[in-house]
Order: sequence, then C-alpha cells, then structure tokens
Amino acid sequence: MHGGEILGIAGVSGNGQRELAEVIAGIATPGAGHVAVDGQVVKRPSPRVLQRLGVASIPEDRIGAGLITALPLSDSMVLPRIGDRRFSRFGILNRRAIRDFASEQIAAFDIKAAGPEVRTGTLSGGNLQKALLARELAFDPLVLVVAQPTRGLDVAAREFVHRQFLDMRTRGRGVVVISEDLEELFEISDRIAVVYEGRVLAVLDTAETSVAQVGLLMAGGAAGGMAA
Amino acid sequence: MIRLQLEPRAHTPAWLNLALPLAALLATLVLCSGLVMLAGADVFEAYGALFQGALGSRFNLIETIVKASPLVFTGLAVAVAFRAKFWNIGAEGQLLAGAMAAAFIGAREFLPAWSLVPAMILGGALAGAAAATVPAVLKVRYRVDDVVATLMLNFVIFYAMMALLDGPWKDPLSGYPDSPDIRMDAEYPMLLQATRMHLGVLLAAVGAVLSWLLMTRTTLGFAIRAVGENPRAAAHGGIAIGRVVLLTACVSGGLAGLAGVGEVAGLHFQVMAGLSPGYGYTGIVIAMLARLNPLGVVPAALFFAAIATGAENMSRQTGVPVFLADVIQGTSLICMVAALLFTSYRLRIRRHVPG
Repeated sequence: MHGGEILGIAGVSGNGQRELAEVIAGIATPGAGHVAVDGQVVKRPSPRVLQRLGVASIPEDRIGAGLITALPLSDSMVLPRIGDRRFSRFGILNRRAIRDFASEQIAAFDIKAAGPEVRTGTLSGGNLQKALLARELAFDPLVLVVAQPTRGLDVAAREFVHRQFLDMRTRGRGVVVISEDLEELFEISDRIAVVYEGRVLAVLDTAETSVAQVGLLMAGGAAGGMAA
Repeated sequence: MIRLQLEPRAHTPAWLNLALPLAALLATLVLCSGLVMLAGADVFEAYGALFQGALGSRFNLIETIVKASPLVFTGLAVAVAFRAKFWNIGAEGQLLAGAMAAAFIGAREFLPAWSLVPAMILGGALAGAAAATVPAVLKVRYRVDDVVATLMLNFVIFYAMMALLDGPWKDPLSGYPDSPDIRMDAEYPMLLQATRMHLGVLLAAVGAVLSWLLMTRTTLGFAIRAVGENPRAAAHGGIAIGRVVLLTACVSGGLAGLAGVGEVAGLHFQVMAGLSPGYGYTGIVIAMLARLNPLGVVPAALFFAAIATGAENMSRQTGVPVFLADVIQGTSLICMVAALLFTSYRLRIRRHVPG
C-alpha cells in the first residue's frame, strides 16, 4: 500500500475483512505479522497510536462502532481527537472549539443536521457516513481504511463519498476500501486485493482484471487462482 | 378516532429536565394516597403532616438538610458510575469503608489536631475508592459481573466491620459493638451554632458542583459518557475503556466514602451497626430520579431526606405507618423510570381521518 492510491479489498463477507480493518485500526492485535506505517513497524498498536501516525479508519458498523448515537453530534465528531490540544487542555474540554469544529464540518460536508448539539442518532444513514468521513478527513490522514463505505447510501451520497476518496488520492494519500460491492471497487480502486478465508489470494491491477476474474477468486476457486 | 403515538425526539427540551421529575413526584403522591386512605387517614392531612414535619420549622428543615448530605454523596457516587455503565450497587459498602477509615484516623492520638479533619476526608475517600476498585478490576480484567461483585462486597464489608466492632475494635467503655469515639478535634465543625448542620453538608454541595463539572467539562467526563453510551465506538475512537472504568470506580467509591466520613465526623463520632440505614441503596434511587445529573442529585436527595424525616411526624399525627416513606421512595423510582421515556420520545395525538 502506498500514497496516492486507492486499494480495494474484495471478498465475500466473513473472509477476514473485518479483522483486517480492526488490525489496521489498532483494535485487534495481529496473530502474526505486523502493522507498518511509513515503513516503520508499529510496536504496540492501539487505536490512539495509529491515529497519531496518520491512520484513520471508518468501521463498517457506523452506528455500533463509529458514532455514539445517544450523544450530541459534536461529541461524536471529536471522539477520536478529544485529547488534542485544540479540544482540551489539562483534561478540561474546550467546548466552544468542539462546537465550532462540528459546525465547520457540518457546513463543509453538507451534513443535514439541525446543528452541532443535535443527538447523533437523529441523522440519516448517509449523513452519519458523511459525519464520520468529516471527522476522519478533517485531520488529513495518510491512510484511510474504510469498510463498506457506501452501503445503504443513496446515489448522491455515494458519489460524494467516492469523490472524497479520489480527492485523497490526488493529495497523495492512500485509501483502503473494503467492500462487497465489486462495481464500486472497479469504479474507484487502482488495485484490488481479493481475500478468501483470511488470506489475500491475489492483488490485481484494476485495469488488467475483470469482474469475472475477481468473482472467481472471491469464491476461492483454483481456476481463478490460475488465471491470476 | 384518536390515536396516541410515540415519536423520537431530536432534542430533549431543557424544561423537561425539571418537569419530568416533578410530574413523577406528583404521580407518586397520587399513587401512594391509596395506602394513606387504607390506613384510615385523610390524604391531604397526612401529606401536610409529612411536609410539615420535614420543612415546617427551622429545626426540621435543618434535620432534613443534614439527612440529605450522605444521600447527596451516595447519589453522586451512583450517578457518576452509572454514566459509564459501571453498575455500582456498592455505594453502601464504600460508604462503610469510608466511615471506618474516618473513625480510625479520627481516633489516632499521635496526629496533630489540625490534620485530623483533612486526613479523615482524604482517608475516607481513598478507602471508598479502594473498595470500589476491587469490583472494577474484576470487571475489567476478568469480566466479572459488576452488579453482583459490587452488591456482594457490601455484605463482605458490613460483616467485616461487625467482626471488628465485636472484637479488636470494640470500644472497651461501651457494652455495644461500637468503635471508640473519635477525638473532639476530629469532629466536623458546625456551620450553624447549636444545630447539627455540619461541614459535611457544605462538602456535599461542593461535591455535587465538582461532579457536574467533571462530567460536563473534562475529558474524563467525556470519556465516561462515551464508554457508557457505546464502548465499541469509544474503543475505536482511542479511549482506553478499562482505564476509564477504573477511574470511574475510584471517583464513585471516593464520593460514597465521603458519605461515610460525614456520618462519622459530623453526626455519630464513631462507627456502629446502624451507621447507614441503606444510604448506599437509596443513592441508586436518587441518582435515577436525578437522571444521573449530579446537580439533580441535590434536590432528589433533599426530597428523600424530607420524606424520611417527615414520615415520623405524619405517623404521630395521623397514624399512617412510617413505612409509607419507603413506599413513596420506591414508587418515585418507578414513576421516574416511566417518565424517562419522554426524554427521548414525545407523545403525538393524532386524529384518525376516516377514508
């Protein structure tokens, strides 16, 4: 994985994608191998350490693992950054900065919400995803790992999300898109890695492969493997 | 045809925070009036005597306030812990731990007089925190259920205390299982001359404000709310859940410990079996009534203290048994929990248009 690239991860759900995302996010510890950022092996990966190194992640389960539906939107939007100097000093929250940040992001990402203090859970799925994107992209991460980025989103929201990924690529950042939507992967990724039973079977250039080939690999078929 | 429908709310209007508890209390009094009538008394007369006995004179009012101070502390202890979904049912035991630490420190002869009160406050808070840390570590490390662990620890602490009071710690001058009295210099100063209004009342008020600031203005409070509402999202956001639960338990146990310090240093000057008539458990109801808001704990504790002090008067004047106080307290919790529904939902009345 390198900067200025969008890497798609294709695979039938339950073949290790979630685990992969959790390892990169620092939630789960890898059974073998390691996580390296910028060529440096991360010794003791944790969500906070990886965030500091510039790895942002948007989990598949937006409501369960991303935002906190019962809290105000502004709280959900500063959650990973609450310890930053901008939002708190010596353990005391800077409530104005938190509110202003949320308002700015709501405007910048055109999030449909009554205001920064509205309860997070009242937003629609598309707007929740925008809020998550806004939260992670506000700090210009080196790498963004995102799972099922457009599941359940309407066409406009889906396009908006894809545009954000392409913008990141233009800025020389990397995006890892884990998706079951092959059409989406072919649309935006430069390379596609196919996972099957917890292993990466192949990494293919999008331009040189086909939906059929990826589909075969996703089924773990030897035929697919030989074609690669 | 008219249909009632519940609709989710985007906002909880501020006035509801006041209106809901009041509505719940009113509903409680209405529901309990049946029992008053069964006891053969006039409802208004009985409730009148209840509130007269609690608030009617300067003496009664002060008694109510003094009684409320340990309830404020245990209510705060529970309110803080429950925000993190650390189900601390152990405020009772943490209170006793704090009381024992205070009674022990307060009786030490070698300590300089000026240091006694600060040392008791600090020691009591630490003892309460230590008592709460045990189930918190069990929960974080070994996933032991916190409800069971905190609850059971209450009995461990209570009977350990009784064993001490009946044995090595028994006051040789007393025939009862009581600890020796603390030194005069260790007693809380009185805020009002010739009353029982002691320093603990002021500490309880300060504790409520500080707890509120902790929950709303600090990163720890932010983390406590995040962990309580959605631990997975909090973990994804880089919050160390185990650490937050441990810190919450320390704060919660420390607050409960201060309730015990106040009872020893302000009222009883010793530890004995009847030190706490279940203040730790009442704290749970108070915290729920306050919707886990530290500032709401103060009026909720005052209400409970008023019911408890007023019940005696009501019983004397109208013959309604004092146990009605317990019924009112229990019913108020149920009413409040029911009323909480309206913080996230609103009732919409729809007229059904035929066709």
